[in-house]
Amino acid sequence: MNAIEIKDVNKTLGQFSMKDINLNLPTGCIMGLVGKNGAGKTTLIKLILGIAKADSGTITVLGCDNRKHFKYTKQYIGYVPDSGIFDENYTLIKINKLMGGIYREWNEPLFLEYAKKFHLSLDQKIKEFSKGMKAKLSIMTAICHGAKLLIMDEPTTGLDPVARDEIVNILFEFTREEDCSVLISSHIVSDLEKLCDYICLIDNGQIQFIEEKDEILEKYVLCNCTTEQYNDIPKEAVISVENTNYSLKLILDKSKLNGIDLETEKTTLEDVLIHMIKV
Amino acid sequence: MLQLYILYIYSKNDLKLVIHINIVISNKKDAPIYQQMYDQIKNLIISGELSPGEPLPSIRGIAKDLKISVITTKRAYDELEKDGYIYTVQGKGCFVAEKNKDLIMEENLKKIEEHIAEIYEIADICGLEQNEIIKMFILYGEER
Repeated sequence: MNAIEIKDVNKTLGQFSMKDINLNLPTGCIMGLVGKNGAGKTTLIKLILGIAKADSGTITVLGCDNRKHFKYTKQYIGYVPDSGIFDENYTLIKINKLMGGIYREWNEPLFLEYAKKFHLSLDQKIKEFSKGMKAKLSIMTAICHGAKLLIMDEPTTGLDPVARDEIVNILFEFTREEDCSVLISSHIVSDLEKLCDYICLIDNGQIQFIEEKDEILEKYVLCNCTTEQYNDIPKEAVISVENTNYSLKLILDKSKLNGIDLETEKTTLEDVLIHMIKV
Repeated sequence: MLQLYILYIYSKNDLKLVIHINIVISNKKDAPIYQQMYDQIKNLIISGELSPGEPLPSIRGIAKDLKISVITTKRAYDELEKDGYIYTVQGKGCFVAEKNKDLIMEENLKKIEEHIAEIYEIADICGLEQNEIIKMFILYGEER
């Protein structure tokens, strides 16, 4: 089964439109959403959550059409926006009580365990928390209400490397269970490179591609070469060219090189995506 | 009710077989990650460090521990099963297959072939003819 199934969705919002959106997130997998600001990542998330209604097409989340009887399914979706979800004056004690009243599967012992693990004081107001602490709070709250699908919008933006690493680890642990899935929209491609099974690139309201992360990293290589060497390379293998004035920096599709002998290096996900977006 | 409760605890706390094996995956190496995993598990099986019938770590478990994609890990496990090194029991996991004599023979034949290729390379460099190599081979065999 798929955690998210989007079929032929179109949505127009003023000047901006999302066209022919088709996306499947297999259960138990982590998919990263990348794209420029304004490409449609947040709109896509709103469509999945049912906050925005698609003009056409269907969206099924955790097996349920999100236009029908979605209330029950929402218990199992954890939405983690980039801004905090709670009033800044709340304390963890208050949140615990509040969530216990809203979610039938609220796991209080787990919530307290996470609080201890992340050194989050139970009676301190959230407004005194650091950015990293707030991010961890948002995620652990989603996990503790029994979420089987986490949908995260820029959860690690603005965090220091240690906090980002901790959050990546939390997400690895969350998906140890095979029925737990994550959709994460982020600009921090290095986090996505560590974490994701799939990468979805959105540009201009359309999905440019959805590919397995490891396949992307296997398929493309980096090559620094001279202009003479460049002339020998089959043009269909060249994804992008950067002229450094002393050499050429290329990203190549390994499968189209036709066996020519070149010194290549592994590329990073960031390199590939930047060049794909530029093109 | 009490009986059911106890059953639940037991199933949650399944005695896990603790396997101490080393699998080292590197992002910097040229070989794709699934290839590295495949090669290392295969070698553990061939060398006997993993014995026939022993359970392999679960696909998800090892993926999350090593912080690699489950898809890639599954691909490595699928290849190992296709090539006869492991088998899957529905609901229980993957286990090391019985030592397949043919597979091991194939591995060893491959190793010998690689050595032969090396010998020919060196022979080419120093201009040694095939019959001279064969003479050396036989001589060595007699002296062993």
